[in-house]
Order: sequence, then structure tokens, then C-alpha cells
Amino acid sequence: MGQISARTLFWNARPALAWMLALIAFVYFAATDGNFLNTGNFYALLQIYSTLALVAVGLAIVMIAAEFDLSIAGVFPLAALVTVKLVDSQGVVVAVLVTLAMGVVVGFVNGWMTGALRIPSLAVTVATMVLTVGIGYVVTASDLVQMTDYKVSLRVTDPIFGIFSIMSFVQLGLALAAVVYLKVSWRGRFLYAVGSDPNRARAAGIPVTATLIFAFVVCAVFTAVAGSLQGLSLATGQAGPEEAFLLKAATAALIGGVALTGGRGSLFGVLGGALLISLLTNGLGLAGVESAIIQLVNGCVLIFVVLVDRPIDRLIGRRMKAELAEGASA
Amino acid sequence: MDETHLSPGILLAAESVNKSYGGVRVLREVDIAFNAGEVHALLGENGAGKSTLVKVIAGIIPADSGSVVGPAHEDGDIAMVFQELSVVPEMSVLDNLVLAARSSRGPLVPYRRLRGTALDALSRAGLADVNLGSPVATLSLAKRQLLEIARGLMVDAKVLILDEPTATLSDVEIERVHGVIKELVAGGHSIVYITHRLGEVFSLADRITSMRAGKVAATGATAEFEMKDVVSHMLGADHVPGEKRTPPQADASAQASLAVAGLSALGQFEDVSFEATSGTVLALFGQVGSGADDLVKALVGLTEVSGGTVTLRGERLSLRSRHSTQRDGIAYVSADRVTEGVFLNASVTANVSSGALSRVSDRRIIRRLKELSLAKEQAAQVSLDATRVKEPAFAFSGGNQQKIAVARALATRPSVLVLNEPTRGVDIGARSEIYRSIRGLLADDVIVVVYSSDIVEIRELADRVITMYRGDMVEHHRVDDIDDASLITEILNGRAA
Amino acid sequence: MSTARAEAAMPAWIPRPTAVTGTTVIGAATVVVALIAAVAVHGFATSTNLRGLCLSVSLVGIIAVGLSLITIVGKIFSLAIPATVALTTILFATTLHLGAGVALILAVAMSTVIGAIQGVLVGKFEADPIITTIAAAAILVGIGQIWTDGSTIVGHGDTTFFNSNLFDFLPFQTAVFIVIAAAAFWWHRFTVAGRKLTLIGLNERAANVSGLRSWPLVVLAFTVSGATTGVAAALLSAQSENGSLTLGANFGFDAIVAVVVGGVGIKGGVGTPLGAAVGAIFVGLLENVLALIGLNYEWQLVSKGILVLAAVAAMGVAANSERSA
Repeated sequence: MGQISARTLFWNARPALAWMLALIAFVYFAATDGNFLNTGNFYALLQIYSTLALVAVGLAIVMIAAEFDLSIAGVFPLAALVTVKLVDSQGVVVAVLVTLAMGVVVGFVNGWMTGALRIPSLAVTVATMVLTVGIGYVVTASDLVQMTDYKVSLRVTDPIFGIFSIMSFVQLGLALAAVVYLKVSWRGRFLYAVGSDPNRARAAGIPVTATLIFAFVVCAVFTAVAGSLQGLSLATGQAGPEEAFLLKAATAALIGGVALTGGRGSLFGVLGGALLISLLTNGLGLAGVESAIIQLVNGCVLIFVVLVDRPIDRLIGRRMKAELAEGASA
Repeated sequence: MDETHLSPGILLAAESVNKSYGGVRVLREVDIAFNAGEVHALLGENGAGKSTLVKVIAGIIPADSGSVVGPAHEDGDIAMVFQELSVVPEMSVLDNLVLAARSSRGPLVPYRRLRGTALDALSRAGLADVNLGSPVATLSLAKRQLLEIARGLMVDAKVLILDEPTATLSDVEIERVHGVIKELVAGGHSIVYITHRLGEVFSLADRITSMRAGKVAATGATAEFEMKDVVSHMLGADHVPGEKRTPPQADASAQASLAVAGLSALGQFEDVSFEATSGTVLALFGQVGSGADDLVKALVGLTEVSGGTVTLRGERLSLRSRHSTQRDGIAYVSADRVTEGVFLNASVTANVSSGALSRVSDRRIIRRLKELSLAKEQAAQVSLDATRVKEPAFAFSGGNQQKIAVARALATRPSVLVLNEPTRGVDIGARSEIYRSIRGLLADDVIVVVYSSDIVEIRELADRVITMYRGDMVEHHRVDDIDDASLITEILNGRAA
Repeated sequence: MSTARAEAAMPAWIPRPTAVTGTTVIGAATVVVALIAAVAVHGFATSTNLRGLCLSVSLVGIIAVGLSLITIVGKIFSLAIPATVALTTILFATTLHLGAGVALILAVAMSTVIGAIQGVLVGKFEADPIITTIAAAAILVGIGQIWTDGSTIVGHGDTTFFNSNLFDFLPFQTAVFIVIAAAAFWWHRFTVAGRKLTLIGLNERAANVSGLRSWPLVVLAFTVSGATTGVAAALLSAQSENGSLTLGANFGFDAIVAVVVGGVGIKGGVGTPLGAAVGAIFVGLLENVLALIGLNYEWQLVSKGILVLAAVAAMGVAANSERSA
């Protein structure tokens, strides 16, 4: 048995697991479904994946800070509505900018109330979720909102290199930028320190409130971008909470190794988790499975990954003890 | 500030420093100097003022009067290594070091530049074999302690203040830390070393200062001292041996007993045997790491036992969980008042009844009258103002909160009362009231076992004392038959003086 | 003698003043708003309006009361409520032909078991409650899908009793809500188990030191929550005699809002089931009043959101200032 160090296991076991499961899913679908391996389907897969990956990465950033963001269920559909509503009258650029501004405001409120007022994020984001869902209804006046400029929809979703689109490029680009940024920036280090123990971080002089605001703003803006693009691509938006999507993003982050307790997890793993969920949605959907069953499969994968956590921790512990013993005798 | 009056070699000094907290004088006219290339040990009991003093000289808190001088003070070249580790276990060694060297210049971490500094700091701290990418969670406690030192070196601190760095380490690990310190000192650093371990002091320190009640009691080169001098300086020449206590019951036939036989817990203590009887208070005395604190936790089911038995009145106890030991009649007062000693957000009444709910209820329904009278009764027993039992616990002082914790345990009418550092951080007045209430139990056939690392507490509370060192029992004495210095020597050296 | 009596009449159990203030403030606000509405708002004090208000408040309230036990014991929330409601409506509609009472019993039995399983996972196996309930929701929805194939189950039976008015004015659902809220309140305040629930939520470690075990109460909290969710779902289904995956979608977050607004602290140990009930009433009342004033549905939602935000902020600030005082 290869002697993988405790260090390697600690950093990489969970992300590796997520990507491996994604690979298995990919191979499975490629082998069993004739319609899977073609440009058209890969395009569809990437459309789904890029959206989920972006939002999952945003949520993961908040989770690493040991918080949670329920308002994603409201911000996502609201973003679509705001964008679609404004495109006809104000043009795409203004519409998208207004949507992003909305995301910044919501994120700031979430982060500030959690950090400065020390209110549990679950309570705060329940409130902002209800608020954003309500504003969504205001925008639509309970109607379907549509835009007439279909050219924009087509531009955004036009296949590039066959499988990509402006939409997926933007989303994947942002997600990757976040993954990289977290690794090389001070803010990224602060995030993990705050998530590990905010009091200890505060005592060490780390700006906890600013870090939390950063996390929630990034999450809300990423969700707003995803929602906005979704609205543009479908040329329509609908009011009402998107809880299923929120749960998918959370599942992707959890599968990728980000813990609810905070301070741990790799965004790269989250990308793998999102890929797994997207593959399941795409592959099973292709086979005609209903979305509720797909959700069931997602739930089972989540349980599996959470159960596998314990043996992985034990394995790390054993490798640690072995390494300590080697070190002592050295 | 003119520093020409300082002799060369002094990196940092405090002159006539005074500090008060809320009317209580914590530091009185303290004069102390720290030289380059020296380990300067700072000794004293809890509350002597050591922590406050180092915080003042580190510049973390300001002095009320007097001044802090020296080149290290000017340049801010001082690093403090706290007792609670400040490293983030889930992050890598490199990241933890990087966080210590933080300079807010730009959004990106200059990893390339800091890597070199980090490797250098690691090797100077004796961690050359540690991989920068290792998560701190995979490092042993000793290495984490050394990592704390490395963090201080990241900013190239000339003066390093170490607060109890070896409190929880094994012998081998302590050697390692000492080796690193000696090298740092050889390199011109000045080390301020706070410790309770007198053995360490004599093997490591060049200079000793002992403090008592906020004043410098004695200072000088290590060679000028002997261990028992140091002890008496810490305790004070006019050290009062403690109030008169109620004499214990002499009736041997009616005594209940808790018999511990060959009790062991892996990595904590081994083969401990003793008998605690009602009518006398038995104390377990030892430093952190001696196993004494783990032993009391094992008696209440909070630590896993790997061998041996405990019997109460002839019946073997399972010690499986806190729930089972409470059911067997063992009550516990925890050392951790803030996290688990009291329910801060509940009333005194609710606190007192929390372990004795069956006593205040009738067929599973809580009877308010009974609960209230139980609370008042227990409050009186611990000298807590009975008219305040409806107030929430957070409204009380630390000492009174500890009384609530004791009342909580007493309310369960236990056969055995186990206390863990019962008056840590409690003021003198509350202390004696708590001791009085505990001694009062001796008339009620209750077996009392207490762990303490405070010699004064042992004197005032216990009739018998068992000393422990590194997991083994050293000796079993009657408190009246032995003097302080011998007891302290036993827990520091593992042998009778 | 009389002073002792008077003293005993005062509650010995004082939860943190903020929670008492939170719940009593919301309670007072509810009464005030109701009175003002009765006098000033046109159309409020009609039997049709009041009946509609009662119905909408009752179902959310029943769920919120059960959910509050999970929050009080310190396990935050259950995110599996919408899925549990949906699946239960399906079971109810499917078995309705056996008689409304039988269908009710079966439905509640199922939802209770669902809650109990989650309780065991969270309490005994110490699984994270958020993850566990997310996963449970996914599984329940999947089961519902397999069962119904996405379609609506139309039940055949007589549910008139469930939809009737007792004593000619009290809707049955509201009577159930009142009974459940009162029972939960009494249980929480006066029984040993209720006290244990609060102590564990306040400080699990201190509760352990006192010799209390957490897992039985956690299991109980989830089980009771499952039961109340089932009752609400059965009553919901009885309104239309249908069962489907789409029913009760908004109940999950409505119940959470009711719990939060009602002064039940998310960290645990603070607040009471009565608070959750009052929270449900207040939110429902406000929505009703806003609708009658002429506010569109969407502005009602926005107002609800602002209200929750303000309530959360106020309680948070109050809690912090008290702690540092």
C-alpha cells in the first residue's frame, strides 16, 4: 500500500473524492447513453455546470467563513427578473450593472449584520431571502416577465467552440478567478482563519467583519451574475424562491469538502462537486429521469460523502501517528 | 526617550510600572530588565501579576504610571507567544507563519519573499524537518508550540515572551523546546520565560525574578538561588497557612469510602490506588500534565479509563459517562466555569436544579415551589444572596458564579463530590465561603475529592493530599504533617524532598 | 404566608430577558395590530376574512411550534419540512378512502417516523442537522416522485369535519393549532423533559456536567417536529383532498420565519414554542392587514422581509448589549 503522507490526505482526500466520483459518473453516462457523448450535450452540460459551479463557489466561500447564506434562494431569481425587466428599456449593460449592484447591497447587508451585529447568519439570510423573494414579486407584479430583445439571448447562449458560450465562459472564468484569488490573496488567508475561530482571529488582529462582508458580497454577486445570465439566456424570469437550487449548491460545496463548521475545504473540490451534480442532472435527465429522482440521487451522494468523512479522518489520524512515531525515533 | 542610562545589553526594561484594574492594584512599582542573550524566568502564583506585566512590556496594554524603555520597545521588536496557541490548525504551516508576518501592502500574499523568511524562522525554531505545506493539525503539540515561537521569529523579534510554553508537553518535547531556546539565546535574543515548573527554571534560566501580589519579591542570577528560596519567595515569608478549619469527623465505623485500585488511563496516568473516605477531604495535587486533573475527570466519567477499578461503598462503578456517574451519586464541579460550569443565561434557580430535576418535580412535572426552595436552601449553603436566585447567572461575579456551580453539585445530594480547581480565578472572600460550604459536607457523610494546583487551596481545604508527577502517584500525606516546600518539590520532581 | 404565595406565583424560570422581551413584544405587537385593524381596517373584522386568516396562520403555526423544539435544543432548523409536507399530503390523499381519521393517523405516523430517523442521525450519530435534513429532503422528494410519477393524487373521502367550524366559528385547523401550541408550551415550561431541552440548548457541555444526556431530547425534538409537520400536512391536504409534490413548498421557510420572529434564538436554549406560535400569528396577521390595506402580494412579501430583518437585528443588538453590560 502506497505511503501517502498525512499531509497529502488532509489537503486532497476530499477534493480527490469529489473529482473521482465526477469521473465515474462521466464514464458511466458515456458508456450507457448513446446521446451523452456529443457536442450538443456537452454544451448543455457546461451551461448547467457553469451556473452551478459559480454559485457553489460563492456559497463555499461563505461556508469556509463558518457561515451560511440562505438568501441565494431569493437573489438568484431576483437577479434574473431585474435583468430581464431592464434590458428592453435600459440596454443589457445597465441591466446587468443594476443587477450586480443589487447583489452587492444584499451581500453587504448579510455580511455586516453577521459580522458587526454578531447575528447568526442563518437568521439574517432567512430575512434577506424573504426580502429578495418579495422584491422579486414586486418586479414581476406576480406576472411572467419577458424581454423582447431575443438577440441578446442568442448572443449570450451562442455556442463557442461548440460547447461553450459567453454565459459559461463568464461563469467559469469568475469561478476559476475566485479559486485562484483565494489561494494567493491575504483575504483568502483571513477567510480560513476567521472560519476556524473568529475570536482567535480577532485577537490576532485579523479584520473579521471586513472578511465576512467580503465573503457574503462575493456570494451574492456571484449568485446575481448567475441569475442575470440565466434570465438573459431564457429571456424570462419567474418570481418565487429557488430552494432546490440553493440545496444543489450546498450539496456541491459539501461534496467538494467544504465543512459547515468552517475553516476547511478547497474551492477546487467544490468545482468537482458541482461537476458531479451537473453530470447527474444532465446524464440522468438525458435518460428521462424526473428531476425529483435526480434530487434523490443527489441526496444519496451527499449522505455517502458525509459517511465517508469519518474513515478518511481516521486514516489521516493513523498516518499522523505513524509519522510521529517515525519522527520520534529519527 | 533617553536610553543612555540603560546598560548595554538591556533590550527591554520596565521602570516603576504600576497598573490597576477596577481599583485593584495588579502591579506595584515594578522594576525589571531583560538582557540580550539571556533567559529570564518570571515566577509567581496565579494572580501575582506576571501576565499583566508581560502584556505591559509587550505594549499590549498601557501602564498606569512608570515607563517601558529599551531598544526593543522603540523598534517594537517584541513578540508574545500566548499560552493558548494562536495557530490555525486547519491551515498550513506556511500560511500560519505568513499570517504572523502580515504587512498590509497589497492584496496578494508575497509568498516567494516570505517563503525564505518562513524557512529561516522554522529552522531557528528547531522545526527544520517540518514541511511548509503540512497542515498544523498534523503537528504534535510540541511542534505547534515551536511553531508559535517561529511565528514570533517571522517578524524578527529580539525579545520573545513565552507564557508557559511547556505546560502540556512531555519530557522529550520539553527538551526540544529548551534546545531551541538555548540556540535563540546564543544568537542574541532575549527570552522572557513565564513558568510554574521550578525544575525548568534551574536548568534553563540565567536570571530569575519572582513576583508576589504585584511586586517583585526577588530577582537575581539563577546561581544565587536555591529551589526552596524561590518557593518561599513565591509564597511570601508572611505566608498565612490558612484559616482554622472544622476538624474532620473521627467516627471511623460509619464511614463510606471510594476505593480506587490500579486505575490507569492511557497517556494520562497509571496504576493509581487510594481510598477516599467520608469525613475527610482528599486532595490530588499536581501540575498540568501530572495526570491528577485527568484522574478526577475519570472519576466522574469524563475521561476514558483503560484499566483498574473504582468502587463506592463496595459497589463497582462503571464510569462510562457523566450521566452514569451522576446517577451513581457522583457530583462534579468543573474547572471550566465559563464554558461548562454554569448556565450563564439561566437563572440561579434553574442552574441549581439542573442536575436535580427529579428532586424538584412530581411525576415529571416541575414544582416551582420546590425548585425555588431548593435554590434558596443551596444558596444559603454556599453563602450566596438568596434573594437573588431569580437573576440570571451572568449577572453575578466570577466568584459568585463558582458558588452557583458548587450549589448545583450540592443540590444533587451526592455521595461523592468531585471538584476540579474549585476556586480558580475566584476572589479571596468567595474562596473562603466556598471552602466553608465544602467542609460543611463532611458532617453529612459525603466523600470529597478535589484536584488543585494551588498549594494554598490544599492547605485550606484538604485533610489529606496525594501528590502526583507525570502520571504516577508520588506520596500520600496528611496535610497537617507536611510543609509546603516539600509538597511542591514532590510535584515538581516526582520524589519526596 | 401570603408573601410566600405571591413569590411562588412569579416564575422561577427566567429565560434571558431578551427572549421574554422578544416574545412579549411580538405578542403585544400582535394584539395592538389586531385591535387597530379591527377598528381601522375595512374588511378585517368580517367572518370571511378572519376565517381565512385563521386557516393560513394555523398550518404554519402548527409546523412552527414543532420546529421550535429543534431550534431550542440547539440543532438550528430542519430543512426537510417542505419535503415532509409534500410526501405526507400524498400519503393522506392516497389513503383518504379509508376514512379521514385513518388517513390522518397514517399520515402523522409516517411523518413522525421520518422525523425520528433524522433525530437519531443528528442526536445519536451527531450528524450535522443542516446536512442531514437537506439529504432527507432530497430523499423524500425522490420517494414522492416515484410514488406519484409527478402527478397529483386525488383523494376520495369525506374531509368535511377537518374543514368545518367548531361551535360555528372556530375552524378545526385553528382549534388544532391552539391545542398543539398550548400543549407544547405547557410541556416546555412545566415538565422535566422540557426543562432539559432548554438546558441542553443553552449549553450542552454544562448540561453534560449536570449529568444530562442530549441525544434523547434531540430525538424527541425531531420526532415531535415530524409529528406536527404531518398534522399540518394532513390538514392541508384535507382542504383540497389532493396530495402532490408541489404542496406546502413555502411552509419550510414560513415556519423558520415564524420561529425567528417569535424570539426563539438560533443558538439554542432561548425562547419557547409559544413564541413560535405568536411569531406565526404576527406574521400572518401583518400579511392579512397589508393585503386589506391594498398592498399587493409582492409588497406584503417585501414588508414581511423587512419585518423579519428588523426583528432579527433588534434581537441581536439587544442580546449583545445585555451580554456586554
